[in-house]
Amino acid sequence: MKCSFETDYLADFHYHCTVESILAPLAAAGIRDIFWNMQGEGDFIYLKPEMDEIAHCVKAHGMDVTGLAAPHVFGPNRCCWSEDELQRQSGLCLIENRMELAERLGARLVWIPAPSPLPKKRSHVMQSLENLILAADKHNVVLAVESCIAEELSFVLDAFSTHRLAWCMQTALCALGGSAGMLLERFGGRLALVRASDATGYGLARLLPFTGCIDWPSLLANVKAVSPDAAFSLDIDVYSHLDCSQMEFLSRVRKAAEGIAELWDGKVE
Amino acid sequence: MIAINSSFHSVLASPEEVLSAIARAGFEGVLWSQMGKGDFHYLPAERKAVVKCFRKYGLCAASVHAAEPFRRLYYSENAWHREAGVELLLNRMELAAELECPVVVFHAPSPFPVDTTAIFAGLDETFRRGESLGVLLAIENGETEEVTPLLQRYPARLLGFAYDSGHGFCQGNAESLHRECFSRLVTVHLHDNDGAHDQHKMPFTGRIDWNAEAVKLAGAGWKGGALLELSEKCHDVTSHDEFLRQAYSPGVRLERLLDSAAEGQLA
Repeated sequence: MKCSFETDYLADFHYHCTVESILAPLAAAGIRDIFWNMQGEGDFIYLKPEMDEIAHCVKAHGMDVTGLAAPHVFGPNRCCWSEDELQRQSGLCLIENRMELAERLGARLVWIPAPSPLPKKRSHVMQSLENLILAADKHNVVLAVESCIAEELSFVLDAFSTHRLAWCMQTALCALGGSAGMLLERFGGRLALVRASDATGYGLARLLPFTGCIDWPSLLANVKAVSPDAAFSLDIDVYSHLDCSQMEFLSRVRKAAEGIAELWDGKVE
Repeated sequence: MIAINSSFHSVLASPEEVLSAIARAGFEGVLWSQMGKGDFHYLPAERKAVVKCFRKYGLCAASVHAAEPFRRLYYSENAWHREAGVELLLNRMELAAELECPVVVFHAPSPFPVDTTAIFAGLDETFRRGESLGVLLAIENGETEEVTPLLQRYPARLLGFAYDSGHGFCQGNAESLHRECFSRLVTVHLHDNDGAHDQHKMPFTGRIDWNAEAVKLAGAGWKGGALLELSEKCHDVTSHDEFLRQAYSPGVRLERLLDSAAEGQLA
Protein backbone atom coordinates (compact mmCIF):
# COMPACT_ATOMS: atom_id res chain seq x y z
CA MET A 1 0.00 0.00 0.00
CA LYS A 2 1.10 3.55 -0.72
CA CYS A 3 0.03 6.46 1.43
CA SER A 4 -0.02 9.77 -0.40
CA PHE A 5 0.44 13.29 0.94
CA GLU A 6 -1.88 16.25 0.40
CA THR A 7 -0.18 19.20 -1.21
CA ASP A 8 -1.91 21.99 0.74
CA TYR A 9 0.13 21.48 3.91
CA LEU A 10 1.56 25.02 3.89
CA ALA A 11 -1.59 26.98 3.12
CA ASP A 12 -3.47 27.50 -0.05
CA PHE A 13 -2.07 28.11 -3.49
CA HIS A 14 -1.24 31.78 -3.55
CA TYR A 15 -0.61 33.61 -6.76
CA HIS A 16 3.12 33.84 -6.18
CA CYS A 17 3.43 30.04 -5.82
CA THR A 18 4.23 27.97 -8.83
CA VAL A 19 3.41 24.31 -9.21
CA GLU A 20 7.11 23.61 -9.21
CA SER A 21 7.62 25.47 -5.94
CA ILE A 22 4.99 23.23 -4.36
CA LEU A 23 6.25 19.93 -5.72
CA ALA A 24 10.03 20.40 -5.61
CA PRO A 25 10.32 20.28 -1.78
CA LEU A 26 8.14 17.16 -1.69
CA ALA A 27 10.33 15.47 -4.28
CA ALA A 28 13.46 16.52 -2.39
CA ALA A 29 12.03 14.87 0.73
CA GLY A 30 11.43 11.65 -1.18
CA ILE A 31 7.65 11.99 -1.34
CA ARG A 32 6.41 10.52 -4.60
CA ASP A 33 2.75 9.83 -3.94
CA ILE A 34 0.65 12.95 -3.71
CA PHE A 35 -2.96 14.01 -3.35
CA TRP A 36 -3.40 17.28 -5.26
CA ASN A 37 -5.14 19.70 -2.96
CA MET A 38 -4.80 23.30 -4.09
CA GLN A 39 -7.15 26.18 -4.80
CA GLY A 40 -9.35 24.74 -2.07
CA GLU A 41 -11.16 27.93 -1.22
CA GLY A 42 -13.46 29.56 -3.69
CA ASP A 43 -14.40 29.41 -7.31
CA PHE A 44 -11.14 28.62 -9.07
CA ILE A 45 -11.50 26.83 -12.40
CA TYR A 46 -8.34 25.20 -13.74
CA LEU A 47 -7.69 26.14 -17.35
CA LYS A 48 -6.13 23.67 -19.76
CA PRO A 49 -2.64 25.23 -19.69
CA GLU A 50 -2.72 25.07 -15.89
CA MET A 51 -3.64 21.40 -16.02
CA ASP A 52 -0.78 20.89 -18.47
CA GLU A 53 1.62 22.63 -16.09
CA ILE A 54 0.63 20.41 -13.17
CA ALA A 55 0.82 17.26 -15.30
CA HIS A 56 4.24 18.28 -16.59
CA CYS A 57 5.67 18.94 -13.12
CA VAL A 58 4.16 15.78 -11.64
CA LYS A 59 5.71 13.74 -14.42
CA ALA A 60 9.06 15.52 -14.16
CA HIS A 61 9.29 14.56 -10.49
CA GLY A 62 8.17 10.99 -11.15
CA MET A 63 5.16 11.41 -8.90
CA ASP A 64 1.88 9.53 -8.77
CA VAL A 65 -1.34 11.38 -8.00
CA THR A 66 -3.81 9.32 -5.98
CA GLY A 67 -6.57 11.86 -6.19
CA LEU A 68 -7.40 15.48 -5.83
CA ALA A 69 -9.63 17.70 -3.83
CA ALA A 70 -12.45 19.88 -4.99
CA PRO A 71 -12.79 23.16 -3.10
CA HIS A 72 -13.62 22.55 0.54
CA VAL A 73 -15.21 25.97 0.82
CA PHE A 74 -17.38 26.64 -2.17
CA GLY A 75 -17.35 30.20 -3.44
CA PRO A 76 -20.52 32.19 -3.14
CA ASN A 77 -21.60 31.52 -6.70
CA ARG A 78 -20.47 27.99 -7.47
CA CYS A 79 -21.97 25.55 -5.02
CA CYS A 80 -23.30 22.30 -6.44
CA TRP A 81 -25.60 21.90 -3.42
CA SER A 82 -27.25 25.28 -3.95
CA GLU A 83 -30.98 25.61 -4.50
CA ASP A 84 -30.24 28.40 -7.00
CA GLU A 85 -30.08 26.68 -10.39
CA LEU A 86 -27.33 28.91 -11.82
CA GLN A 87 -25.14 28.41 -8.75
CA ARG A 88 -25.86 24.69 -8.79
CA GLN A 89 -24.92 24.34 -12.46
CA SER A 90 -21.78 26.42 -11.94
CA GLY A 91 -20.92 24.32 -8.90
CA LEU A 92 -21.26 21.17 -10.97
CA CYS A 93 -18.87 22.70 -13.53
CA LEU A 94 -16.43 23.39 -10.71
CA ILE A 95 -16.43 19.74 -9.56
CA GLU A 96 -16.27 18.44 -13.13
CA ASN A 97 -13.28 20.74 -13.67
CA ARG A 98 -11.52 18.82 -10.87
CA MET A 99 -12.56 15.53 -12.47
CA GLU A 100 -10.97 16.66 -15.73
CA LEU A 101 -7.78 17.47 -13.87
CA ALA A 102 -7.90 14.08 -12.15
CA GLU A 103 -8.27 12.37 -15.50
CA ARG A 104 -5.37 14.44 -16.88
CA LEU A 105 -3.19 13.39 -13.93
CA GLY A 106 -4.23 9.75 -14.03
CA ALA A 107 -5.82 10.03 -10.59
CA ARG A 108 -8.73 7.86 -9.53
CA LEU A 109 -10.28 9.83 -6.69
CA VAL A 110 -11.93 13.23 -6.43
CA TRP A 111 -12.74 14.40 -2.94
CA ILE A 112 -15.77 16.56 -2.25
CA PRO A 113 -17.36 17.76 0.98
CA ALA A 114 -20.82 16.42 1.80
CA PRO A 115 -23.77 18.80 1.69
CA SER A 116 -23.64 19.98 5.27
CA PRO A 117 -25.86 20.74 7.01
CA LEU A 118 -28.43 18.84 4.99
CA PRO A 119 -31.10 21.21 3.74
CA LYS A 120 -34.78 20.57 4.42
CA LYS A 121 -35.54 20.57 0.71
CA ARG A 122 -33.25 18.00 -0.87
CA SER A 123 -34.41 17.35 -4.42
CA HIS A 124 -31.77 19.70 -5.88
CA VAL A 125 -29.02 17.96 -3.88
CA MET A 126 -30.21 14.61 -5.19
CA GLN A 127 -30.21 16.04 -8.72
CA SER A 128 -26.63 17.24 -8.26
CA LEU A 129 -25.52 13.84 -7.00
CA GLU A 130 -27.03 12.25 -10.11
CA ASN A 131 -25.21 14.81 -12.29
CA LEU A 132 -21.94 14.22 -10.47
CA ILE A 133 -22.18 10.45 -10.82
CA LEU A 134 -22.68 10.80 -14.58
CA ALA A 135 -19.67 13.12 -14.76
CA ALA A 136 -17.58 10.73 -12.64
CA ASP A 137 -18.46 7.94 -15.06
CA LYS A 138 -17.43 10.11 -18.01
CA HIS A 139 -14.07 10.95 -16.44
CA ASN A 140 -13.56 7.50 -14.91
CA VAL A 141 -13.12 8.74 -11.35
CA VAL A 142 -14.65 7.94 -7.98
CA LEU A 143 -16.20 10.75 -5.95
CA ALA A 144 -15.23 10.45 -2.31
CA VAL A 145 -17.69 12.40 -0.18
CA GLU A 146 -16.31 13.44 3.18
CA SER A 147 -18.46 13.52 6.27
CA CYS A 148 -18.37 12.15 9.79
CA ILE A 149 -22.11 12.57 10.28
CA ALA A 150 -24.14 9.41 9.75
CA GLU A 151 -27.28 11.24 8.57
CA GLU A 152 -25.34 13.01 5.80
CA LEU A 153 -23.61 9.83 4.68
CA SER A 154 -26.83 7.89 4.73
CA PHE A 155 -28.52 10.53 2.56
CA VAL A 156 -25.68 10.62 0.04
CA LEU A 157 -24.64 6.98 -0.13
CA ASP A 158 -27.83 5.02 0.48
CA ALA A 159 -29.65 6.61 -2.45
CA PHE A 160 -27.00 5.55 -4.96
CA SER A 161 -25.39 2.15 -4.98
CA THR A 162 -22.84 3.00 -7.67
CA HIS A 163 -19.13 2.58 -7.01
CA ARG A 164 -18.66 6.09 -8.47
CA LEU A 165 -19.95 7.55 -5.22
CA ALA A 166 -18.04 6.61 -2.10
CA TRP A 167 -17.19 7.70 1.41
CA CYS A 168 -14.13 9.62 2.55
CA MET A 169 -13.28 9.30 6.23
CA GLN A 170 -11.22 12.04 7.88
CA THR A 171 -9.61 10.31 10.82
CA ALA A 172 -9.04 13.33 13.07
CA LEU A 173 -12.63 14.50 12.65
CA CYS A 174 -13.98 11.04 13.36
CA ALA A 175 -11.73 10.79 16.41
CA LEU A 176 -13.04 14.11 17.66
CA GLY A 177 -16.61 12.86 17.41
CA GLY A 178 -15.75 9.35 18.57
CA SER A 179 -17.65 8.03 15.59
CA ALA A 180 -15.04 6.07 13.61
CA GLY A 181 -16.17 2.61 14.75
CA MET A 182 -19.86 3.23 14.16
CA LEU A 183 -19.29 4.85 10.76
CA LEU A 184 -16.96 2.09 9.62
CA GLU A 185 -19.51 -0.51 10.60
CA ARG A 186 -22.31 1.35 8.83
CA PHE A 187 -20.52 2.72 5.72
CA GLY A 188 -17.20 0.86 5.60
CA GLY A 189 -18.17 -1.04 2.47
CA ARG A 190 -18.33 2.28 0.59
CA LEU A 191 -15.07 3.66 1.98
CA ALA A 192 -12.75 4.74 -0.84
CA LEU A 193 -10.48 7.28 0.80
CA VAL A 194 -9.02 7.77 4.26
CA ARG A 195 -7.66 11.25 4.88
CA ALA A 196 -5.32 10.41 7.68
CA SER A 197 -4.29 12.80 10.38
CA ASP A 198 -3.87 12.33 14.07
CA ALA A 199 -5.94 14.10 16.69
CA THR A 200 -5.24 15.86 19.94
CA GLY A 201 -8.37 14.47 21.53
CA TYR A 202 -9.63 17.92 22.49
CA GLY A 203 -9.54 20.15 19.41
CA LEU A 204 -9.43 20.13 15.65
CA ALA A 205 -5.81 19.80 14.62
CA ARG A 206 -4.47 17.70 11.79
CA LEU A 207 -1.38 16.11 13.30
CA LEU A 208 1.03 13.64 11.78
CA PRO A 209 -0.03 10.04 12.42
CA PHE A 210 1.63 8.54 15.50
CA THR A 211 1.89 11.95 17.22
CA GLY A 212 -1.62 12.15 18.67
CA CYS A 213 -4.25 10.04 20.38
CA ILE A 214 -5.46 7.78 17.55
CA ASP A 215 -4.75 4.06 17.93
CA TRP A 216 -3.45 3.52 14.40
CA PRO A 217 -2.95 -0.25 14.47
CA SER A 218 -6.52 -0.69 15.62
CA LEU A 219 -7.96 1.86 13.17
CA LEU A 220 -6.09 0.42 10.20
CA ALA A 221 -7.15 -3.10 11.08
CA ASN A 222 -10.78 -1.98 11.25
CA VAL A 223 -10.52 -0.15 7.91
CA LYS A 224 -8.79 -3.06 6.23
CA ALA A 225 -11.48 -5.45 7.43
CA VAL A 226 -14.25 -3.53 5.69
CA SER A 227 -12.49 -1.80 2.81
CA PRO A 228 -9.24 -3.46 1.78
CA ASP A 229 -8.93 -1.25 -1.32
CA ALA A 230 -9.26 2.10 0.43
CA ALA A 231 -6.67 4.72 -0.50
CA PHE A 232 -4.86 6.75 2.13
CA SER A 233 -3.64 10.30 2.04
CA LEU A 234 -2.00 12.29 4.81
CA ASP A 235 -4.03 15.43 5.47
CA ILE A 236 -1.62 17.37 7.65
CA ASP A 237 -1.46 20.97 8.76
CA VAL A 238 2.11 22.22 9.06
CA TYR A 239 1.02 24.75 11.68
CA SER A 240 0.71 21.94 14.19
CA HIS A 241 4.36 21.07 13.60
CA LEU A 242 6.28 24.33 13.72
CA ASP A 243 9.10 22.94 15.84
CA CYS A 244 11.15 22.02 12.78
CA SER A 245 12.22 23.17 9.33
CA GLN A 246 10.12 22.53 6.24
CA MET A 247 12.46 19.77 5.09
CA GLU A 248 12.45 18.13 8.52
CA PHE A 249 8.65 18.33 8.51
CA LEU A 250 8.47 16.71 5.08
CA SER A 251 10.89 14.05 6.21
CA ARG A 252 8.54 13.27 9.12
CA VAL A 253 5.64 13.18 6.64
CA ARG A 254 7.44 10.62 4.52
CA LYS A 255 8.19 8.47 7.58
CA ALA A 256 4.57 8.72 8.75
CA ALA A 257 3.35 7.67 5.30
CA GLU A 258 5.77 4.74 5.34
CA GLY A 259 4.59 3.88 8.87
CA ILE A 260 0.95 3.77 7.76
CA ALA A 261 1.85 1.62 4.76
CA GLU A 262 3.91 -0.81 6.83
CA LEU A 263 1.13 -1.17 9.39
CA TRP A 264 -1.38 -1.77 6.59
CA ASP A 265 0.82 -4.31 4.91
CA GLY A 266 1.37 -6.09 8.20
CA LYS A 267 5.10 -5.48 8.27
CA VAL A 268 4.90 -4.21 11.85
CA GLU A 269 2.62 -5.09 14.75
CA MET B 1 -25.35 57.25 -24.13
CA ILE B 2 -24.52 57.79 -20.48
CA ALA B 3 -22.82 54.76 -18.98
CA ILE B 4 -21.00 53.88 -15.78
CA ASN B 5 -18.62 51.13 -14.73
CA SER B 6 -20.15 48.23 -12.81
CA SER B 7 -17.22 48.33 -10.37
CA PHE B 8 -18.01 51.81 -8.99
CA HIS B 9 -18.39 50.12 -5.57
CA SER B 10 -16.37 47.42 -3.88
CA VAL B 11 -19.09 45.32 -2.33
CA LEU B 12 -21.96 44.51 -4.68
CA ALA B 13 -21.53 40.98 -5.86
CA SER B 14 -24.27 39.85 -8.19
CA PRO B 15 -25.10 41.21 -11.65
CA GLU B 16 -28.67 41.68 -10.42
CA GLU B 17 -27.63 43.99 -7.56
CA VAL B 18 -25.26 46.04 -9.67
CA LEU B 19 -27.31 46.37 -12.83
CA SER B 20 -30.60 47.06 -11.10
CA ALA B 21 -28.96 49.91 -9.17
CA ILE B 22 -27.39 51.35 -12.33
CA ALA B 23 -30.68 51.16 -14.23
CA ARG B 24 -32.61 52.78 -11.36
CA ALA B 25 -30.32 55.80 -11.56
CA GLY B 26 -31.18 56.29 -15.24
CA PHE B 27 -27.99 55.10 -16.94
CA GLU B 28 -28.41 53.51 -20.34
CA GLY B 29 -25.08 51.76 -20.52
CA VAL B 30 -22.55 49.88 -18.43
CA LEU B 31 -18.81 49.39 -18.60
CA TRP B 32 -18.77 45.80 -17.33
CA SER B 33 -15.83 45.37 -14.98
CA GLN B 34 -17.05 42.91 -12.34
CA MET B 35 -14.54 40.34 -11.07
CA GLY B 36 -11.88 42.69 -12.38
CA LYS B 37 -9.07 41.81 -9.98
CA GLY B 38 -7.78 38.27 -10.11
CA ASP B 39 -8.05 35.16 -12.20
CA PHE B 40 -11.83 34.72 -12.29
CA HIS B 41 -12.98 32.81 -15.34
CA TYR B 42 -16.65 33.05 -16.32
CA LEU B 43 -18.42 29.76 -16.93
CA PRO B 44 -20.90 29.65 -19.84
CA ALA B 45 -23.90 29.63 -17.51
CA GLU B 46 -22.52 32.64 -15.67
CA ARG B 47 -22.04 34.57 -18.89
CA LYS B 48 -25.62 33.78 -19.83
CA ALA B 49 -26.81 35.07 -16.47
CA VAL B 50 -24.96 38.37 -16.99
CA VAL B 51 -26.46 38.75 -20.46
CA LYS B 52 -29.93 37.95 -19.13
CA CYS B 53 -29.56 40.62 -16.47
CA PHE B 54 -28.48 43.26 -19.00
CA ARG B 55 -31.57 42.42 -21.07
CA LYS B 56 -33.83 42.50 -18.02
CA TYR B 57 -32.85 46.09 -17.25
CA GLY B 58 -32.58 47.23 -20.87
CA LEU B 59 -28.93 48.16 -20.44
CA CYS B 60 -26.30 48.33 -23.15
CA ALA B 61 -22.78 46.99 -22.57
CA ALA B 62 -20.51 49.83 -23.70
CA SER B 63 -17.35 47.86 -22.97
CA VAL B 64 -16.07 44.88 -21.00
CA HIS B 65 -12.93 45.27 -18.92
CA ALA B 66 -10.47 42.42 -18.97
CA ALA B 67 -9.41 41.09 -15.58
CA GLU B 68 -6.21 42.28 -13.95
CA PRO B 69 -4.94 38.82 -13.14
CA PHE B 70 -2.60 37.47 -10.49
CA ARG B 71 -1.20 34.54 -12.44
CA ARG B 72 -3.02 34.40 -15.74
CA LEU B 73 -0.88 36.99 -17.49
CA TYR B 74 -1.05 37.04 -21.28
CA TYR B 75 2.47 38.48 -21.26
CA SER B 76 4.05 35.99 -18.83
CA GLU B 77 7.37 34.45 -19.77
CA ASN B 78 6.04 31.21 -18.28
CA ALA B 79 4.32 29.58 -21.26
CA TRP B 80 1.59 27.90 -19.16
CA HIS B 81 0.71 31.11 -17.36
CA ARG B 82 0.77 33.01 -20.64
CA GLU B 83 -1.57 30.50 -22.27
CA ALA B 84 -3.87 30.77 -19.25
CA GLY B 85 -3.69 34.56 -19.63
CA VAL B 86 -4.76 34.24 -23.25
CA GLU B 87 -7.66 32.03 -22.13
CA LEU B 88 -8.67 34.69 -19.63
CA LEU B 89 -8.64 37.46 -22.26
CA LEU B 90 -10.64 35.24 -24.60
CA ASN B 91 -13.09 34.54 -21.78
CA ARG B 92 -13.88 38.26 -21.52
CA MET B 93 -14.07 38.54 -25.33
CA GLU B 94 -16.63 35.72 -25.32
CA LEU B 95 -18.62 37.56 -22.66
CA ALA B 96 -18.44 40.76 -24.74
CA ALA B 97 -19.63 38.92 -27.86
CA GLU B 98 -22.58 37.48 -25.97
CA LEU B 99 -23.40 40.96 -24.64
CA GLU B 100 -23.16 42.33 -28.21
CA CYS B 101 -20.52 44.65 -26.83
CA PRO B 102 -17.97 45.89 -29.37
CA VAL B 103 -14.86 46.17 -27.24
CA VAL B 104 -12.80 44.61 -24.44
CA VAL B 105 -10.40 46.96 -22.65
CA PHE B 106 -7.13 45.64 -21.28
CA HIS B 107 -3.83 46.85 -19.88
CA ALA B 108 -0.25 46.43 -20.97
CA PRO B 109 2.30 45.23 -18.42
CA SER B 110 4.00 47.85 -16.31
CA PRO B 111 6.85 48.44 -16.80
CA PHE B 112 6.65 47.57 -20.48
CA PRO B 113 9.17 44.77 -21.07
CA VAL B 114 12.37 45.37 -22.99
CA ASP B 115 12.09 41.88 -24.43
CA THR B 116 8.67 41.86 -26.10
CA THR B 117 8.71 38.20 -27.13
CA ALA B 118 6.25 37.03 -24.46
CA ILE B 119 3.78 39.90 -24.72
CA PHE B 120 3.67 39.65 -28.51
CA ALA B 121 3.33 35.86 -28.34
CA GLY B 122 0.38 36.21 -25.95
CA LEU B 123 -1.38 38.85 -28.02
CA ASP B 124 -0.67 37.12 -31.34
CA GLU B 125 -2.37 34.03 -29.95
CA THR B 126 -5.27 36.04 -28.53
CA PHE B 127 -5.91 37.74 -31.87
CA ARG B 128 -5.53 34.45 -33.76
CA ARG B 129 -8.14 32.72 -31.64
CA GLY B 130 -10.34 35.72 -30.83
CA GLU B 131 -10.70 37.46 -34.18
CA SER B 132 -13.77 35.44 -35.14
CA LEU B 133 -15.63 36.67 -32.05
CA GLY B 134 -16.06 40.07 -33.69
CA VAL B 135 -14.90 41.94 -30.60
CA LEU B 136 -12.15 44.53 -30.71
CA LEU B 137 -9.44 44.64 -28.07
CA ALA B 138 -8.55 48.13 -26.84
CA ILE B 139 -5.36 48.93 -24.99
CA GLU B 140 -5.90 51.45 -22.19
CA ASN B 141 -3.48 54.13 -21.12
CA GLY B 142 -2.98 53.07 -17.53
CA GLU B 143 -1.22 54.79 -14.69
CA THR B 144 2.26 54.08 -16.01
CA GLU B 145 2.24 51.58 -18.84
CA GLU B 146 3.06 52.26 -22.47
CA VAL B 147 0.56 51.64 -25.22
CA THR B 148 2.22 52.82 -28.43
CA PRO B 149 4.38 49.71 -29.07
CA LEU B 150 1.22 47.62 -29.22
CA LEU B 151 -0.68 50.09 -31.41
CA GLN B 152 2.28 50.11 -33.78
CA ARG B 153 2.45 46.32 -34.00
CA TYR B 154 -1.23 45.46 -34.42
CA PRO B 155 -3.60 46.90 -37.06
CA ALA B 156 -6.72 48.86 -36.25
CA ARG B 157 -8.98 45.97 -37.20
CA LEU B 158 -7.53 44.03 -34.24
CA LEU B 159 -6.48 46.62 -31.68
CA GLY B 160 -7.90 49.99 -30.74
CA PHE B 161 -7.12 52.58 -28.12
CA ALA B 162 -9.09 53.07 -24.90
CA TYR B 163 -8.53 56.61 -23.62
CA ASP B 164 -8.63 57.02 -19.84
CA SER B 165 -8.95 60.72 -19.07
CA GLY B 166 -7.98 60.41 -15.41
CA HIS B 167 -4.83 58.41 -16.11
CA GLY B 168 -3.83 60.80 -18.88
CA PHE B 169 -4.30 63.83 -16.62
CA CYS B 170 -2.41 62.28 -13.69
CA GLN B 171 0.46 61.20 -15.87
CA GLY B 172 0.58 64.49 -17.73
CA ASN B 173 0.68 62.58 -21.02
CA ALA B 174 -2.81 63.40 -22.29
CA GLU B 175 -1.39 65.58 -25.05
CA SER B 176 1.00 62.96 -26.38
CA LEU B 177 -1.74 60.33 -26.22
CA HIS B 178 -3.94 62.70 -28.20
CA ARG B 179 -1.26 63.08 -30.86
CA GLU B 180 -0.15 59.46 -31.07
CA CYS B 181 -3.16 57.32 -30.22
CA PHE B 182 -6.43 59.16 -30.83
CA SER B 183 -6.56 58.05 -34.44
CA ARG B 184 -7.14 54.56 -32.99
CA LEU B 185 -9.71 55.62 -30.36
CA VAL B 186 -12.51 53.09 -29.88
CA THR B 187 -13.68 53.64 -26.32
CA VAL B 188 -13.17 55.87 -23.28
CA HIS B 189 -13.03 55.82 -19.49
CA LEU B 190 -13.98 59.31 -18.36
CA HIS B 191 -13.31 60.50 -14.83
CA ASP B 192 -11.74 63.41 -13.00
CA ASN B 193 -8.99 63.92 -10.43
CA ASP B 194 -6.77 66.50 -8.76
CA GLY B 195 -3.88 65.93 -11.14
CA ALA B 196 -1.83 64.08 -8.53
CA HIS B 197 -3.88 60.99 -7.72
CA ASP B 198 -5.92 58.60 -9.82
CA GLN B 199 -9.18 59.28 -7.96
CA HIS B 200 -11.89 58.23 -10.42
CA LYS B 201 -14.03 61.20 -9.43
CA MET B 202 -17.11 62.45 -11.23
CA PRO B 203 -16.42 64.80 -14.15
CA PHE B 204 -16.39 68.49 -13.15
CA THR B 205 -15.31 67.68 -9.57
CA GLY B 206 -11.56 67.70 -10.26
CA ARG B 207 -9.13 69.76 -12.35
CA ILE B 208 -9.61 68.32 -15.84
CA ASP B 209 -10.67 70.88 -18.48
CA TRP B 210 -13.69 69.03 -19.83
CA ASN B 211 -14.30 71.51 -22.62
CA ALA B 212 -10.85 70.74 -23.98
CA GLU B 213 -11.36 67.00 -23.49
CA ALA B 214 -14.66 67.15 -25.39
CA VAL B 215 -13.02 68.97 -28.29
CA LYS B 216 -10.20 66.41 -28.47
CA LEU B 217 -12.64 63.50 -28.34
CA ALA B 218 -14.85 65.06 -30.99
CA GLY B 219 -11.76 65.56 -33.14
CA ALA B 220 -11.14 61.83 -32.92
CA GLY B 221 -14.70 61.16 -34.02
CA TRP B 222 -15.88 59.95 -30.63
CA LYS B 223 -19.66 59.59 -30.64
CA GLY B 224 -20.03 56.89 -28.01
CA GLY B 225 -21.28 59.17 -25.24
CA ALA B 226 -20.26 59.80 -21.67
CA LEU B 227 -18.73 56.54 -20.48
CA LEU B 228 -17.84 57.12 -16.84
CA GLU B 229 -15.40 55.05 -14.81
CA LEU B 230 -15.95 56.20 -11.25
CA SER B 231 -15.16 55.10 -7.75
CA GLU B 232 -17.69 55.52 -4.97
CA LYS B 233 -15.02 55.77 -2.30
CA CYS B 234 -13.87 59.23 -3.43
CA HIS B 235 -17.31 60.71 -2.85
CA ASP B 236 -19.17 61.45 0.35
CA VAL B 237 -22.30 59.35 -0.08
CA THR B 238 -24.36 57.14 2.19
CA SER B 239 -25.60 54.58 -0.33
CA HIS B 240 -24.92 53.13 -3.76
CA ASP B 241 -28.18 54.61 -5.02
CA GLU B 242 -27.21 58.07 -3.80
CA PHE B 243 -23.83 57.79 -5.50
CA LEU B 244 -25.37 56.69 -8.79
CA ARG B 245 -27.97 59.48 -8.68
CA GLN B 246 -25.20 62.00 -8.07
CA ALA B 247 -23.07 60.52 -10.86
CA TYR B 248 -25.84 60.68 -13.43
CA SER B 249 -26.03 64.51 -13.49
CA PRO B 250 -22.40 65.12 -14.53
CA GLY B 251 -22.91 62.31 -17.02
CA VAL B 252 -25.76 64.24 -18.64
CA ARG B 253 -23.71 67.46 -18.60
CA LEU B 254 -20.72 65.73 -20.14
CA GLU B 255 -22.80 64.06 -22.82
CA ARG B 256 -24.19 67.48 -23.83
CA LEU B 257 -20.68 68.86 -23.92
CA LEU B 258 -19.55 65.99 -26.14
CA ASP B 259 -22.53 66.55 -28.43
CA SER B 260 -21.75 70.25 -28.65
CA ALA B 261 -18.14 69.51 -29.47
CA ALA B 262 -19.17 67.01 -32.13
CA GLU B 263 -21.36 69.69 -33.70
CA GLY B 264 -18.43 72.12 -33.70
CA GLN B 265 -19.99 74.42 -31.14
CA LEU B 266 -16.97 74.37 -28.79
CA ALA B 267 -13.74 76.17 -29.52
